[in-house]
Amino acid sequence: MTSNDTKFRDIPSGNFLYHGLGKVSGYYLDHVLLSAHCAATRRREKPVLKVLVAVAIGAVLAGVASVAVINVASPSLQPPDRPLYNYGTR
Amino acid sequence: MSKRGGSETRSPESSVEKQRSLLVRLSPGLLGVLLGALALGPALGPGFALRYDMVFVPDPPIFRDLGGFPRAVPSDLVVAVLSYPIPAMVVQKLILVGIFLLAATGAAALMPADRTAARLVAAAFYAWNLYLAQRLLLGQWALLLGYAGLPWAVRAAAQGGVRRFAIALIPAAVGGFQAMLVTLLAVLPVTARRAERWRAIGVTGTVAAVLSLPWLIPALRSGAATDPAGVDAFAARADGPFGVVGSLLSLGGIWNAEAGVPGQGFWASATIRLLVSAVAVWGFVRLLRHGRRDPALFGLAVAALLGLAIACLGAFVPAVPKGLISWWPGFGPLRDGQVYLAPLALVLALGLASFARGRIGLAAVAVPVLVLPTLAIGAFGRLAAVDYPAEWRQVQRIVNADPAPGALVSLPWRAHRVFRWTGGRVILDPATKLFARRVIWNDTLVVESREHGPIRVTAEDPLTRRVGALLAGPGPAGARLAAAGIRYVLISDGNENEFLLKLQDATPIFRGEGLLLLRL
Repeated sequence: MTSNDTKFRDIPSGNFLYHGLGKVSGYYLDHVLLSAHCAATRRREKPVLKVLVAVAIGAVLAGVASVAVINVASPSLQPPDRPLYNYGTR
Repeated sequence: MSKRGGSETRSPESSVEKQRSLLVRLSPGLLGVLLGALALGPALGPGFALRYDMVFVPDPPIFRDLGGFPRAVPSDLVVAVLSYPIPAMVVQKLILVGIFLLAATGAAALMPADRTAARLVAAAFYAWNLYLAQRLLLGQWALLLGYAGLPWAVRAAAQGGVRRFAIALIPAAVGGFQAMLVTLLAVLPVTARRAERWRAIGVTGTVAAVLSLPWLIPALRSGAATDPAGVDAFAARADGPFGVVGSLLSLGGIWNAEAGVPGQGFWASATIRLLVSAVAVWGFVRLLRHGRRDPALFGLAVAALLGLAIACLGAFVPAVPKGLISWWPGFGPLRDGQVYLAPLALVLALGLASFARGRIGLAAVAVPVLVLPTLAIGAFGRLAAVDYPAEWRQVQRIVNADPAPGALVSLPWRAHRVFRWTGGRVILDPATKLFARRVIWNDTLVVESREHGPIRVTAEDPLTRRVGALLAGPGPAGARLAAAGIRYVLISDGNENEFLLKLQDATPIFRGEGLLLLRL
């Protein structure tokens, strides 16, 4: 955390826009992200667990996406656009 | 890393590092183009992508007599000017891909430069979500220009500087009134949070007002009326299993069921989209808790809440927008409240991106595509490129070559058309954009409601209402139309018999397979 600590110390305490949003987005928001991350990960990190969770989430997302695509791509009796002269249907 | 020397010699490691850094810098843009190509798919082929409000025509005239309410101002003019040196179909594709490019790079620019994963996740989410997809399928490319430029406008508003802000507002200025209003909703709370608040708001308001003049002046002079029934027609609706609020929080809820992404109502997809939104909101709240003083973050939070409230108005308390529109037609843009979810889309993009760190975070770039996979390949064929039959170009040449004054009336007396050559897709009458002279078309909008039957949103243009009354009156209408300043009548869709009885005195100038042009 030493390099991070340095970044925290370097943040101007008053006007965060002192250096423009180039610094706000690239520096101050960096600080915001960093502090948010530190708050969320105060407990000791478990990289293997993180990978497993990410793989599980990815598998669920990919599974649902596949079903959604198959549902849409499978032959349907209705054409994708019904010929209407209306602006649309609610 | 090698040291920088005066001899400008660099080690191979330095060169590789430089190339890598360039690739990292360009990656949000490349991702945006990739997502654009994936979403647009067949629409990028030869021809024009036509759907609802997205009507591009070959050789659009630069100097058009628009008259009436300025609907596509100045977007159509910009397209016409660009189409002078470049074919219009290429201009359309550049604009559509440009929307994805601008959106992705803008969202990425709001994240720290050294957080590649976070930048890419923000870029992917902002360029691939339900809001963008539904508005694209409704053909509202001009609004999407404002949406794409919104992160840049927010960034410029937080940074300050008139020139920077004016440049960032150009996409919204080109897009027209809806794009500008959506951008201002996000930008004003950001400027209000800055240290020199009143000066910043003054500068923002002045720049926005100047850039809005092309549509503001004609709108104020048009004498256009806004029908409060538009609130019933265009209010947000539930387009998934979680009701109106659930749809809006998932960035959906557009009024038109035909503009939905195929398969978006599938319960599992809808659940995951809502969960992703919840996680993104949590991420943004976490950012906000640590960055309360950041004007961009705070302003965006306020704008997102305001946008959500406006979107809910039409759905839950329609009397409020109806009352406002009845009092002053200028409140008309409130009727389609879902449009104001754009700041929420940016909030969710930043919130989701805040979790992305390292290689695992980089994998999260795929999340937006996985939660809305059916936007790919032109939303599975909803978007595709078609070409105009030759007869449309022939009629365009005949009418535009005629120096005699007089307007053109487009029949049938409905705003939207379905042609075989559009692949059954509903489009706004192309005649509205083909000709240099004034085109009178019925801008009454008819929306089919499952609960209330057809909802008719009365025409806004006073001349349209007058011509409509002439056409609906008894007996031949040719002489009366000519007296009202009409020179041409264009009948499309082959149902000419319905109108020829009313236009017996008219001279046929061109007769094609699906078009009949009459001169009065």
